[in-house]
Amino acid sequence: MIPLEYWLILSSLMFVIGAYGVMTRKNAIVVLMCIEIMLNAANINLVAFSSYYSTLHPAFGTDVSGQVFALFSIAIAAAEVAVGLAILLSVYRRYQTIDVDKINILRW
Amino acid sequence: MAVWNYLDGFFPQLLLIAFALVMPAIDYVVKDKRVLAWASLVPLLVLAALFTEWLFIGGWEPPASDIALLEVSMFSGLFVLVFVFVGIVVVLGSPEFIKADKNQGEYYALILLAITGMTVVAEAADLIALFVGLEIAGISSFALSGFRKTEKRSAEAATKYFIVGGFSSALTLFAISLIYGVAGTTQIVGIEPVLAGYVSGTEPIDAGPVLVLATVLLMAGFGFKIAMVPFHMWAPDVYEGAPTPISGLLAAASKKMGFAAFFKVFLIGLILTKTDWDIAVGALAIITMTVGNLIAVSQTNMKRLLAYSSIAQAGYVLIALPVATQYAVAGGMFHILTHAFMKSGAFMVVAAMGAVAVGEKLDDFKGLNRRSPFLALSMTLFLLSLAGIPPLAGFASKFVLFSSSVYASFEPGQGWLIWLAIAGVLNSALSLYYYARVIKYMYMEKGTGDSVKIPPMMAVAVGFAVLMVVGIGLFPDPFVSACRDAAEAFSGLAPGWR
Amino acid sequence: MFEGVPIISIIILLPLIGAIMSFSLGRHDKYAKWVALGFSTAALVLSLLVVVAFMVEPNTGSEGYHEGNGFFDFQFYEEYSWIESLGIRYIVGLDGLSIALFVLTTLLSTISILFSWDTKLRPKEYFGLMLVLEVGVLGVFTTLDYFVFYVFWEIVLIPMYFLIGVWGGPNKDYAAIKFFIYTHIASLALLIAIMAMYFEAGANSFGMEDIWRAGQSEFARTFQIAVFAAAFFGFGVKLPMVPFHTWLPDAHVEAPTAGSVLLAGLLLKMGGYGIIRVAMPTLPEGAEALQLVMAAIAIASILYGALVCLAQRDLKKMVAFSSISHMGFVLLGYATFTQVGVAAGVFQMFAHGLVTAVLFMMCGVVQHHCGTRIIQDLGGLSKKMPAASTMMTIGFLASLGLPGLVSFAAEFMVLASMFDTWALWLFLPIISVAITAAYYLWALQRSMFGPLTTKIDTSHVHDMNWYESVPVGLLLALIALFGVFPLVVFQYIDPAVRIVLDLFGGG
Repeated sequence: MIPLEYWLILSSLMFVIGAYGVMTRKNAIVVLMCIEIMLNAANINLVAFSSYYSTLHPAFGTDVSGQVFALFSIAIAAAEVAVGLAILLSVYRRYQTIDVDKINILRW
Repeated sequence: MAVWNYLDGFFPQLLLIAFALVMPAIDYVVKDKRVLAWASLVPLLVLAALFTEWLFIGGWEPPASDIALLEVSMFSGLFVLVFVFVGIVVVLGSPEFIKADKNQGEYYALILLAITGMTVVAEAADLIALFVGLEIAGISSFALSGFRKTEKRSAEAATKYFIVGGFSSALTLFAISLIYGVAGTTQIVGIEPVLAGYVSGTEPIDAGPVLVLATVLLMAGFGFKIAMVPFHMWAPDVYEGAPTPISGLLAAASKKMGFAAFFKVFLIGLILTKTDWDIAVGALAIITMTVGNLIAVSQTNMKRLLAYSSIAQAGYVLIALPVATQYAVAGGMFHILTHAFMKSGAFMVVAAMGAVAVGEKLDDFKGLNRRSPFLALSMTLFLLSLAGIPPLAGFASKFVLFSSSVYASFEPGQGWLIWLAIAGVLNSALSLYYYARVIKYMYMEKGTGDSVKIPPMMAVAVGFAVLMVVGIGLFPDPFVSACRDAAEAFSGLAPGWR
Repeated sequence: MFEGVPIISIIILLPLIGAIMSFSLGRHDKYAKWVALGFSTAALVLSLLVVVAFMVEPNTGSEGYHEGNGFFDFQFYEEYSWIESLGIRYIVGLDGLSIALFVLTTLLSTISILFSWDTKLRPKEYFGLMLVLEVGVLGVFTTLDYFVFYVFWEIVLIPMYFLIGVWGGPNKDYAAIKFFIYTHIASLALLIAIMAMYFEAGANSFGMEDIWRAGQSEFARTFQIAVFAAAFFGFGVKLPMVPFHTWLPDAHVEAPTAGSVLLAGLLLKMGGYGIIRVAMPTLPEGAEALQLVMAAIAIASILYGALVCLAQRDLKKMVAFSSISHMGFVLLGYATFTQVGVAAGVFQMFAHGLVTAVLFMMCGVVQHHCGTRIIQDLGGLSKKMPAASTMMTIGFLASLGLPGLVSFAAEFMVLASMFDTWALWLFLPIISVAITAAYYLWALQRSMFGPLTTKIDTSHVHDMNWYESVPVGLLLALIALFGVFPLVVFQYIDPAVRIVLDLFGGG
């Protein structure tokens, strides 16, 4: 079985990559993808911790709340992407671009 | 037991969702779009009546939740009431504002869904429910702020709100996953006992660094939701670009949802590590109110001004977190309650001016007294209340809130808390400067244009908010009592809470 | 006389009803002044009856009398619960400290309304705000609960802000905002002080008496000093004390005449009243520790106000600065902590309220008839307006402390008690008496006497209208009356002051 630390290192890397991308990338689609990477990093954490606790305290049975949480968050992320892409589509129609730096009638 | 027996506790949410789902169908059938507003008022008014009866009169009681996801208490009840009241004001103010727009059914449906999400956050007893509630409200609000998709500003506001909102959810979720990792549970009340084990050394590993990281990420995640400095940059843009009633919803209700989450996670889940975060949150509270007020001074757009003012108000409410007494939570909730009315009312005034084509720039307020005495008087009352001038609601709530930090500062070692109260009152004085300037524009400057007639539903929305602001100011007793009951219920959730 | 009748609440409510009626007159705004005059006169008449009742049945055990057990002895005591969960009650009552200021409020409000009889600009708002202002000031002088006190204290700001901002002079925007913010910051210091006292007392009550009682054992010395400093700042800005006086000249110069009358006649008194009612009895050790600070600020205010007056070109600005000087005597009287000094300080508030009202009204008359208040541009007006120049002369003489007029008794007693306490330091405030005489007589000589001015067109200048001369004449009569018989007021101030001083041990 893969130790917990490996999962945590993987998820931390994904989280940092995602956060870095959100802050530096200009293309709104890429930003959206980076947010998804961050959410998935959290999902990996949840599932990893869940299986870790199940092996740690087998007497309590399987702790599934982390896995359930991951399922919820996957569904939510899908909804978020749907709405997000729709918003980006409408902003593209108005601005002919999805460069977040060029969408700035309102002062940042 | 069958599945539906579990659904009792979801009664408010189910009611809202049911109406939200039929809204597009009604839109398809009826010609007169105002029917939509009336239809969406039905669940809101029902909930408002029931929860008012529960919290202020006694009699009806909401069905208790049979599942561990939700916890129905006076605390959640008061928040639900705030969200529902703001919803009523926003829905009343909407028909005239969006009368030329398409897809009105979806508009009201999304408002109801956003409120559903907020109520879930208020009642959440589990981090899963908390996160799901935040997302339901968040995703609905993204769509709502981009409702006028033919308008550049609205589309831009939606984009910014979406990116910031998504980022903050990712931070929140990652922090929650870390807390789950440390505590082994997603139950909010279950976190504290496990942390106690770490503190007393019965657990073998040192969870400190992970917890600090989780705390920081949560502060950022929730900080975005409540527009806490330095996570506030999105708020003025989004409030300016979104349709004005939606700005009211975001400022008056969505932000309060962030506070509900903040209170629950920090004051129940992480209360044991309070010394790790209280000074940071206290400093952020002071910075938030100061920055909000300072930038508000130079604004020329009324919606931006109100946005910065609501950033400052968030700073005031944040005082309740480091003080962390029952009285402070009561004060924070009281200010949340009054701020919901003041801010939604003020945004409705701006919306009314937009609907009758007066405009929403500060200059458009010049001589408003001549054009619409009702709007000018209402706005004056809202602004004076925001500044904390007695005998209006904002004074009463600020009084309770600030005095809680004065009280707590008498405790040994807690002396620094008095600076929160001092910063609060100094900021109130500072805020009076730009509020008074708006009042000056309305009453003392010559304006152009004829008198305007305010659409009746908007007048009702503004009038309702005025009534509450003046009413709470003159008769705060039942509201203070309700907030104290709520705070007591809140502290009852966590064992070992002072 | 008023057993079982909530007479004070009725008097406070009357102007409020009048204000609401005035605001809702709609297009019939020419009746606003009648509404305002009617309701303020009704309040005045009732308050005079209260005074009569106060004099006839002093400190009996009859209904409506509240035996304070060491706290102040109140008559016409009323108490209703307001915010039970925080221990906030609406309590009103009158004693020797407040009764004179209470009547002064109803009197000056009525007189100012009469004086602004020809207000054409938005009359219903104007007279409505005057009445709201009256409500606020009456509340401050009668209420005995800190929370309610603060509420009334802040209510006063709003009508004043509008009175200056809408009906003011050319620089009204700046003056109105400055007044509002400056005094609001001071109020907030007071608010923090109130919160601290409430919690430290631990009586779960905002009642002044409850907090006073608990405070005698609960308030430590350092706590008292800190809270007294905060409260003193809050009250002192209103007073105003140097160096926190800068809002006052701006506000006065820009305010309409009636606004100035109420500002100087009543709003400044709120500061002086607060110190003697709230700060000194509740926090005696704090007051004692800061006695020299109070005295120094008082003397600085007296001297600074007088000196700046000498340099003024604007008649109204001169009167405004003279207020700083005269209110300094109030503070100086308090700072002596002697029976005579404190009582004289309280009496000085009453005296200054009457005198300064006359002075500001005369400034208004000059402005109204000649179109300017610049002293250099005036001259020889006594030929054109003999009645006005006579009244102005009497007013100036009263203000500079001519024996036989009301200010003399007050200022003389303050100086006498100062001599008892600090002996030869008396020379500092004595200098100001000479300066005061100088600037008043000089201004009078340049504006009213001598050859008729040619700098302004005086062909249309005529004497005062009835609505100007009646109020001023009435006030001058009172100035002379209380100048000859100051004891009428003193005999009620004295016992109340004795209660305060008992707390200081010795007295």
